[in-house]
Amino acid sequence: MKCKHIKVKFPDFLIGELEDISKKEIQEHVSTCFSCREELESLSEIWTKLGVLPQEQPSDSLRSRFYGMLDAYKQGLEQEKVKPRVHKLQGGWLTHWWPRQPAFQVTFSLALLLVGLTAGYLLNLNGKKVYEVASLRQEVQGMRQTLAISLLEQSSPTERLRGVGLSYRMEKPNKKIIQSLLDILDNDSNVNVRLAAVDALYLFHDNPTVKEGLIQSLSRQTSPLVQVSLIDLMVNMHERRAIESLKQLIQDEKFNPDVKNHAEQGIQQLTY
Amino acid sequence: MRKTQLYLTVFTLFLFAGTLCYGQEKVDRVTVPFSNPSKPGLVKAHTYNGGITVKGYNGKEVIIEARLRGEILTEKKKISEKAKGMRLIQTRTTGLSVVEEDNVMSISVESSKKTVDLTIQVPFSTSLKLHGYKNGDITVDKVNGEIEVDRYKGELKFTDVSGAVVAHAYSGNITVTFVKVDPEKPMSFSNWKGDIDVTFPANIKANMKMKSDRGEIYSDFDLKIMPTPQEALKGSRKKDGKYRISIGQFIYGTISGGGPEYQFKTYSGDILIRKAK
Amino acid sequence: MNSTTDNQLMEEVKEGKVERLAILFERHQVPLYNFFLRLTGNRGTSEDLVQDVFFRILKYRSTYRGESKFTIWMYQIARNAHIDHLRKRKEEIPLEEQWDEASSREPGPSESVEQLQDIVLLRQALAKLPLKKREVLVLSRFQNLKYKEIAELFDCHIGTVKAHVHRATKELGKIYFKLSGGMVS
Repeated sequence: MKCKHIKVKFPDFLIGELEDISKKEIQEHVSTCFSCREELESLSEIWTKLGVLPQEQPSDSLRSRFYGMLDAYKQGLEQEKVKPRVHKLQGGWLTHWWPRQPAFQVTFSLALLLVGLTAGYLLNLNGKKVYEVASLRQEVQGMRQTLAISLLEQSSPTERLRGVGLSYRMEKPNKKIIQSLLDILDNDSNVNVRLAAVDALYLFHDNPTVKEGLIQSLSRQTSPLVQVSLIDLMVNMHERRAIESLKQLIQDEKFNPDVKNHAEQGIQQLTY
Repeated sequence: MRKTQLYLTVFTLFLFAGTLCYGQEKVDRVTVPFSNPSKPGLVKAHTYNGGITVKGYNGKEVIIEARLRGEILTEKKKISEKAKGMRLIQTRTTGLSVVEEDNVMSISVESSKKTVDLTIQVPFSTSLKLHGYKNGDITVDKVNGEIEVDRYKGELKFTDVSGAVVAHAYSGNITVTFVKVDPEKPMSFSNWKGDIDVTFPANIKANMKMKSDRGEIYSDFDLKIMPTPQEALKGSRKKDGKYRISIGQFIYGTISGGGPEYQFKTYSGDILIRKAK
Repeated sequence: MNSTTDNQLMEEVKEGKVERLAILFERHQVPLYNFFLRLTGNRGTSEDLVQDVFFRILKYRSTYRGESKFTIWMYQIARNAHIDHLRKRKEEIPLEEQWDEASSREPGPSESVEQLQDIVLLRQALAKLPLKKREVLVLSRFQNLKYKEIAELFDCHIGTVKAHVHRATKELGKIYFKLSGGMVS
């Protein structure tokens, strides 16, 4: 009987939260009861031993993912409140060479918050790591759209590249995303980002706005690389309306001879 | 509270003084600290005519040297003939200006007629945004950060860099050797003429997207070729009963199961993606 | 600076100042990460779960009731997140195998080889403990939760918690003893 009464106090003994009277009671008991002493000793031993398990530090990416999520969530909340605001994109090539943006994006830089939590895994089609939080899915979709747009507006080109990458993984990008991608194609100061935008937009070329935007964009491009990519795209779209723009391009002095060649080949393929 | 630093330091340097003469070369040299040296800063440099060399070093400040290239000797002679017996009061400057604001340092060389080479030493962890037009290469050595470079003519040579690179040159080879990559960030390399030759650490995980219109693509990475997202999305769509192999499409592949997207695009050069040995 | 209590902060988050969650994150991310690490034995999973917990806190912030301690509510969410994770994970990798990568690491400067061996054995032993016992033990031993708080968290009587701790410790001792080859160091 006594033993049972004593043993009940062991857990409190372990965490050291026992009044002196009870402690004394235990000590007196175990000094005479061998089995209780043995049990208390082995409990204490393993309990103490557990102390060698180190406290580990999570990697830095945990923090950045968290702040990315928080930013995106805040943004999502604001977007709910305010009507969609008109967003400005990168302007011309030289005018925006010195954007006055502070480097605050460090936290945002990993704003692919969802990468870890959900979106990334939802995208991971290999199935192994699929980690769906089904109830959050809807919310995540919305946040991804918001996130993609906010990434597309970042001053860092890797962020914009990431935004482009995120948009073309969407099944149904909303109007804003399409518009942002078209704006990037026409105005982004970085050739690499414009190139990525061409590719992303190709996925949505069934959308009339996209089709029109792509044809229009050809004459606005200054980089031969982007011009060539757009020509390839027109050919792949089987877009006969593009023939006119291509013909104009061939007439235009300012275009690179290789680009003109490319355009000629394109016209042949389209009329064939 | 984790508010971004509110203190906003602005300080501008216009350099007329502080000019040293090393032999016949004219060099402006200035050392500028970041307003918050404990955080990695961003260095932006812009020149029209001349090369840019950036080196990471074990220090906290940014050391900038602008060097007027060539022609100095003859110029000096001309002056001395015209102005016999007179003392030189003002000499041509390199037109270097440096502005530091909130950990962003903007360096520019105004003039386009003179060729001015910039040499910038930065703390190892610094992000870069470099822009140049002609006459010289852009080289970056031992810098860890986000490196964005845009160049019209001239080579891009990056050695022992870490982080992420977004680089474009109109004509000129792009050669990059990474020590480490930022596992989260996408990258992109493109040019019109010249090869793109990038060496990555063997353990990278990435989605590769590559295209050369006129050249070849080589790699010693174990690259798993994937269908393009276009194909994956639409299936092999047939139109007019014809199956079209998409010309001018990118090749997609994954390394070690995939990761952030690395884009490589050249019109007439080759693409070489190497595994560091 | 840190005088604002968790509960006050969470009230603010609930009212819409979601940026205040950052402070709660900074305070609790490391313990929470270690909580998951001891449950799952996997670093990547543990980070994902921490992220998941804070996401859920945002999502369900309106359901927060300030009458109990914030940490209790947080661990409630953490337990749910963990259980959902187990449910979602189809092919379950035995927990004891997950630590392999960790056990092969070099001993830190303050760890002797013996200590490292102990760490490995203890992790394996913990992993063999049934989930509920593991949870109770980890919460009381490492997460600084009082038995009363654990009782609130598990919605049971404090006596039940103590009994659980008692049994869990005893069982862990046996497993550990067996794993270490029956030798007591």
